[in-house]
Amino acid sequence: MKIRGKVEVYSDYGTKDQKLVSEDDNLIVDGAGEIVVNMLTTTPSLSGIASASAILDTSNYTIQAMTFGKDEEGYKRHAHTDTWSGLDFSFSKGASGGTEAGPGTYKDLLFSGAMVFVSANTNPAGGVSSYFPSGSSYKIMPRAPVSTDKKLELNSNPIWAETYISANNYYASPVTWNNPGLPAFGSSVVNRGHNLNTLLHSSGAGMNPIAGTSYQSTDLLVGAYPRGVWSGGTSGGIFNDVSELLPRQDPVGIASATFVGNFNTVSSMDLLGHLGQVYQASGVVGSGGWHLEKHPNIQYSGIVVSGSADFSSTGEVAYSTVIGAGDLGFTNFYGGIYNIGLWALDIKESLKVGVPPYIWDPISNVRKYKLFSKKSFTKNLAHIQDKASGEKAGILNYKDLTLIWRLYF
Amino acid sequence: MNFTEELGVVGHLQIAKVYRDKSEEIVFDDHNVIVSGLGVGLANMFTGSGADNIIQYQFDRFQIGVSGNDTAGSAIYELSGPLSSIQEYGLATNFAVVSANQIKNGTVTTTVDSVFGLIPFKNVTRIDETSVRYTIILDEDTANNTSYSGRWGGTDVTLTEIGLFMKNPAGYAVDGSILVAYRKFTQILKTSDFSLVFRWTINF
Repeated sequence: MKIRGKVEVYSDYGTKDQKLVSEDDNLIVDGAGEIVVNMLTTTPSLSGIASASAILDTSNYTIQAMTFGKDEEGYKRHAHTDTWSGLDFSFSKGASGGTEAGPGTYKDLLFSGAMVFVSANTNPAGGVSSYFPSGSSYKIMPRAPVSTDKKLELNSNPIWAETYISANNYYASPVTWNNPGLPAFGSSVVNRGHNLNTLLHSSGAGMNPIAGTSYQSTDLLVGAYPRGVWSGGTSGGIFNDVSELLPRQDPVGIASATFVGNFNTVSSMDLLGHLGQVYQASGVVGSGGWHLEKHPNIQYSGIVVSGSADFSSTGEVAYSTVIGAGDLGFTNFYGGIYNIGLWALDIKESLKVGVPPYIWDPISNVRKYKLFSKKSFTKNLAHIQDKASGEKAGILNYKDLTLIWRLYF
Repeated sequence: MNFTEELGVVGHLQIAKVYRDKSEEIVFDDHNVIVSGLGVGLANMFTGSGADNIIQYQFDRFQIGVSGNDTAGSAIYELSGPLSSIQEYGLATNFAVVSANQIKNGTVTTTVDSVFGLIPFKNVTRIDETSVRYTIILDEDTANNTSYSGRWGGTDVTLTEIGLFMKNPAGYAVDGSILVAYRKFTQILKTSDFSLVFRWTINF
């Protein structure tokens, strides 16, 4: 018997314009076997201990999260570093990056969003107003997946965690480096191997400010998903270079937009970038029971688990979700999406924090996860390119993507 | 696991005769057949549509039989000739024997129709991160041929097959167990002169 899986990605899913963007097999990693063996070897005697019996709940041994990321090098490039240059330049002009003047804005910053600079990326533009993470300055290549993988990439540290690089601001736009200090992050958010979601709650991620500034601006260095509609979203801009950041007036960059994140609108993703299952989808429980077909948009609330009517003969389990247009557009500034991971709850690690049930809380999520399977793409799922004249600019032209991850037992 | 995109689930069965003087004779040592029932059980678990407690997904029971299936493949869902009563296992067995329903080819019967031996949890051993071993012991008083030979119309009827079962993946009110692994083995005439020890390792 073999456990296998495949990933399907669609645009305009469920409409007459539905298009299959990608379909390919995944890699089931060793963690999957570890999860099953955890289940088989957990003592049933816990059922007689009231304070521990919840450990035996099936949900503690099943898929609970999905993550997205890119190649290892990508965490040292794109908006991770260019935004640093932009902030650096901004601070050099006397900006403070201090107290928020309003949701999604920062006092005195010349541009309070994610930034990418054409000058730093050689060939980042896919037209006038689209960003290509895969420029000619380096070739994006996600790590070849192997069965022993425990995360999507081995190293996702930003450049400021590697001082020999940060001291020279090596990758960033060639501006004077004022070295006001390096941002620091809580140890739990370092080197996770996938994109984080620090814009959800900066201090919750343990982020410390660059000296003399406010941490509210350093969350932009990590990204990688925009704020939700309740916070007005988060801006992103493509610039030729930092000189286009102008004090007391709007920057004159190539293109900019405000991205509204679906993940952070519905609080379905935690600080560490784990997109969770649907836990509290409003209005889905009625007297007639819960039926997926009655809730066509529920995939916007996180991961939806389903099995076909004949799953007992096919062994098929499907995990579906929607990556919203705003999340796609914004995360493309941070290198796009080349890796995705499917994670089960790691009960052994979670128990070190406390006993279940583990209530979903995106800001202080106590759940620990173990990688179950992963998929690497050779094409950026957040790819966008300017279309013919008369259409909206590339960064304004994103569509939601529906992702369906099927496992076969 | 293999260096492939799939997680291959495999198993290995070793059978030993253990005599009263503690000497041991290996009589069978080979791979087993992981059957589709394991996929059914895990699919129940991962969809969240089956039992809500992992005890129901554990391999806590087995059947022993006298009519092995030579061509058993992953589609097999039952033993050819399982022992069918507590008396056939023996009234003085070293493990509990229970009656329960069995899921066969996707269908569960509505009347309790099968008999299983229970594997004590102390005999479930985690070998490493992705392997688990089930040790099933038929002691000198258990499953001796004199207790079932008559039903099979003869004398000296041998044991030839064993199946490992998941307890109740669909979460039925009365356990509906499903076959997850199977193996036909060399004919063994079980007597009170020795115990049979099955060491069954499943690798995920």
